[in-house]
Amino acid sequence: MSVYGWSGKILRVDLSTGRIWTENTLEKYKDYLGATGIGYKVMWDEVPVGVKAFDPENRIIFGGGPLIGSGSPCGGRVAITSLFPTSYPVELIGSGHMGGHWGAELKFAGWDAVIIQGKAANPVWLSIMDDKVEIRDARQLWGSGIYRATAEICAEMGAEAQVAAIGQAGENLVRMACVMTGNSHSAGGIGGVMGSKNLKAIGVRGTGSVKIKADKKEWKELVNYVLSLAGSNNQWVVPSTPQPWAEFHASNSRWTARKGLFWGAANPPVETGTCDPRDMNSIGYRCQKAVFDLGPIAEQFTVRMDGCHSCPIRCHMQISVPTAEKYGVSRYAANTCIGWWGRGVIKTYPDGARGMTALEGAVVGKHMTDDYGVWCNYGQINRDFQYAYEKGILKKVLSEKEYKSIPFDLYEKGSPEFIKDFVRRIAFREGEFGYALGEGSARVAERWGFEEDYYGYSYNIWNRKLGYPKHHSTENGGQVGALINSQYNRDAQCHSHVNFYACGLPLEIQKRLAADVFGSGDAIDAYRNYTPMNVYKAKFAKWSLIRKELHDSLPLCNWMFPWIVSPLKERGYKGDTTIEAKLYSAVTGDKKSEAELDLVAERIFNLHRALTIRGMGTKDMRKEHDLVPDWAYDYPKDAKPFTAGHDKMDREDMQKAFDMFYKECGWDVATGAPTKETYQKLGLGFVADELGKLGLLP
Amino acid sequence: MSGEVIAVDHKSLATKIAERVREDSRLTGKLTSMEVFYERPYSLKPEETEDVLRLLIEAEEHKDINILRDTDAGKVYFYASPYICEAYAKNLLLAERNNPYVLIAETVREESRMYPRPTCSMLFQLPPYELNLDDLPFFLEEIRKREDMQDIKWFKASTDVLYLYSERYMSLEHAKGLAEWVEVEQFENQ
Amino acid sequence: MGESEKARSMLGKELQEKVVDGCECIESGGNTGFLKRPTTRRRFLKLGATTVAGLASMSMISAFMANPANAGKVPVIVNSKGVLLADPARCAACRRCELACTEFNNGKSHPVIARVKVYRNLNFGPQGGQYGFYNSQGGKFGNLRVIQDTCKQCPHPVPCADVCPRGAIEASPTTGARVVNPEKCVGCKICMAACPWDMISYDPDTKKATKCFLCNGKPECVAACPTGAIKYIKWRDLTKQTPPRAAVYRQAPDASCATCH
Repeated sequence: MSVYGWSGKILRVDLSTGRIWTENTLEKYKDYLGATGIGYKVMWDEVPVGVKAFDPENRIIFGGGPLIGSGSPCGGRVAITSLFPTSYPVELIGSGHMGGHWGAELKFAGWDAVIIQGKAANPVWLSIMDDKVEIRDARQLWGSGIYRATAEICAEMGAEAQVAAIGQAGENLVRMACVMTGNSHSAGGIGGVMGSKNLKAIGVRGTGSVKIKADKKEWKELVNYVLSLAGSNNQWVVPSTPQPWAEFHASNSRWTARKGLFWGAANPPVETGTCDPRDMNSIGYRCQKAVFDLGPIAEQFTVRMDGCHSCPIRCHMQISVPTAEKYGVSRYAANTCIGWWGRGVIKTYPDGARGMTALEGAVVGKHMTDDYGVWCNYGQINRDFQYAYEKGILKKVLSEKEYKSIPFDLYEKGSPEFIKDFVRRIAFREGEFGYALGEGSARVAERWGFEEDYYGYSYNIWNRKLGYPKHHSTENGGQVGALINSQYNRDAQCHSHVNFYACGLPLEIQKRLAADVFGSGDAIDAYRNYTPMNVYKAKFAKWSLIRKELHDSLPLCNWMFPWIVSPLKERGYKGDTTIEAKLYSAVTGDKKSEAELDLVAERIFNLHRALTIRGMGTKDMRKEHDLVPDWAYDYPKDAKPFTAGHDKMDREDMQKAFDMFYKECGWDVATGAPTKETYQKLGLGFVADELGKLGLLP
Repeated sequence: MSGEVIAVDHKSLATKIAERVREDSRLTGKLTSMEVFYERPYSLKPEETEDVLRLLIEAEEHKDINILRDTDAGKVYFYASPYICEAYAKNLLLAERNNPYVLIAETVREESRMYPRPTCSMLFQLPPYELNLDDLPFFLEEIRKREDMQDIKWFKASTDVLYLYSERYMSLEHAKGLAEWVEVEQFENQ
Repeated sequence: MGESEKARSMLGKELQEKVVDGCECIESGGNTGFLKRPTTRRRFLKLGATTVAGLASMSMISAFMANPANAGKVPVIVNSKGVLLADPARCAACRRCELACTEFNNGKSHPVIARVKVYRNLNFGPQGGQYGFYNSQGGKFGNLRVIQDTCKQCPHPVPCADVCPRGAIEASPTTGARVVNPEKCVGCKICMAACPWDMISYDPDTKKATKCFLCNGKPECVAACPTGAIKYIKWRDLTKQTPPRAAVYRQAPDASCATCH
């Protein structure tokens, strides 16, 4: 029998015993779709409470889902699920996410997911050549950076191979370590888990196919329909400058294309142009992201844009900055958004945040962090360092010898040379400085005795217990952003709300479209002019979260989807929230409506919740887990909640927000724990049974 | 271009006009003035204007051609959808009128009301506005004096960039908060 | 010394260059290069006297068919009408071309049978693995340039068609594209070894070779490219502009070639 979408097989590897076997995807995991869904299920079934991230019993699950490799637009991302090393004090469930071409290649090799357990006796790498899977000796690769490891593995497997590898940071069990693929795609936080298993890399080469159930013509029509509704990165549907075709514009839009804006270092230079949304052959020019991330100065250094498999929105910039070579790194650099975090190690550059030195800093930072494989906790590592330095804490916690060995003069001068020193110390756990900062924010804050001011607005910490920062929180939707930020065990990697909030359309249109999806325009407020909580915001928050899990599991990029909006005036700027269900049904042949697929996603989201409850050993999520930082209520000092100009929330109103949100989710309002009935309704009766035995049901 | 006759009848002249308008809209993003068509090679005669325009308006194949009248100045312009949309065309017309005060005030009011957001002064150097930002202090001085523009206010963000807003539609606090988001904080919240 | 080298050495400089080109194009009255063939000065002059090119090609095919050694084989002499022209400066490496090629034609996503190939150039460029010399070559680990490989729809002699023991690679009657006739193809893969640009694939599902057939004149990759980096243009000889990827297997000329050359 043909399987559509999925390949039908999951690869299992026990590195302790060297055993390699397969599982049937659909028999065991169909109700969990793929990626995070499969990941959570494996973690629930196989990793008991008490196991730590770096224990051999921990699992690390790599995968896409039924849509990866299928050609579904923006369907190239991979989630890597495991116990998350930076979570504190218990290492709870979490995922890192990466794009590129690795996940599609895995599907072409015939695998929906790879599940690794155990620990190899010596460093190894995993070679997946279609159905030929081998555990290979990696002793000659151990100690080398990600670039070299990738090149060596491709030299063996063929240049077409895609490699996901860790650098020295992951090898050295730095908690702040990532997995990298394709030069610019990184999955944060889980590099150390691979390192703990002595697993340097997974190389994949696939010559197979993904079968599409829908008729060719139907599929083409659907794909073209989906493409017709795409905006730019984060579903910005208006351009950043007035364009003749555009009714609206917004200067902070990621749709930066315009006449006179180029990929300046292309040969010959390529003009991005006006990019009329009806022109399907210019979608890839809409997001000239280099000028957005790095400033107008970056235009002349932009070779081109790039991104993930099958995605027409190219959000990864490829730049060539010759003067960066004076710091001993290649001029060629690629990344996007927070991937350029190495630049932010330095707070002040001599010629400003968007000047030439900062641009060189971005290139230096990219090479250091992406070759050593160091993660940033959404930029928090820089704030941790800067806090400890500025408050004089480093002087106290480091020996005089170590303190003097750190070139703070370069930091003060704003020299990119400092970034090289900084990242190396972290990757190799050098001294107290490298060790502590590499442990993650919660641990370094405790170890170095960070004071109350560290938890203020300026340093971004959202959940002080777990040590993760805000990520599209109150600044993107008030209570909605706050609820979303309270749900994970790392920074919330949720963009469902942002892709609607920050689309660039006038508020009136957004409210009209919000009413279509949530029942009332009150689900959304004007930026920086928030209103008190209402039930539509609770619906918006829940919907955003379950769609995030849906997107991670299908996968579709949650940095693009879901699409409440589109750039098309003739549609009243309406997007289509059924695209996920349409693509899933067409590819797999398993016809599901929007509501049916949302239910699957809700199952996955609730399984994540259950894993957190079981891991923490408490059902009182409301008090113990779902935190909102004080600064969300206290900053700015003199502002009154629900007046214009700021994002300040109100304590009492936020409690009401949690009440409403829990109710929407079918969770117990007192504890925020899913009820037995909710688990059962979602097909998670076995979860309810186990939690019941542990006394963790409300 | 020589003085050759490019159209033998009114219908084909209307087609030629439509083609020119489409080309201008697509390539330049600018309005096409009616005056162009009184010149060669179109050589439209004043007495033919009504008939040709009627053909242009009524023809199904030219329904993408839009006509914009500036009644004050007594001028007529054309543009083609979807290359140019109505909102942009209106701003082009405002810019054509060469009245920067009205252009600025109308734009600021519209943005404050609609999005809502304060308007970055840098916007006005871009098409369709294309004002010289060096002249901005003079424009602001004039706006400050004009009674019908008393709602237009401005301030500088922490980056020293000037923003304008209409207090008819938004408060200074809101405008400042949003300007700070766009100028600084959005980059810290990618 | 082979025939063409011999001929070249006898010619003056200007004509030598024509022979290096290997071909002389005769317009067929339409806008398509119609007949291309290796030429010596003598043949060049003789053909030059033939004003109706269509007749020339017809007569050559007739002569070829008359040779009993060529039973069942038709030489691909007619040029393609169009060809894909890829602009690497515009390629954003999303591979939607590969997807459109295989999904809209074959109902599956299958990069290794895609008739436009980006996947193999992604990380290290056409030169392949680099052992850490990251910056000297192409690809995402090199100088960031990514190249799309497309079929050149070669002029005669068409390497893939020439070597096919079944004569299964033919000129499409509508586009002139060199297409695999699945009725004749037995999946022996010899054509794959013959293509200097490694543009022929083997489809494990059909067990036959597959190559670019220009989607019968409406190439899907062109329509799907989000950066307009592939164009469908009137045929021109791109074989001289693109360095070969692979060491090429060439069939020794058989009796059939002598019919025309």
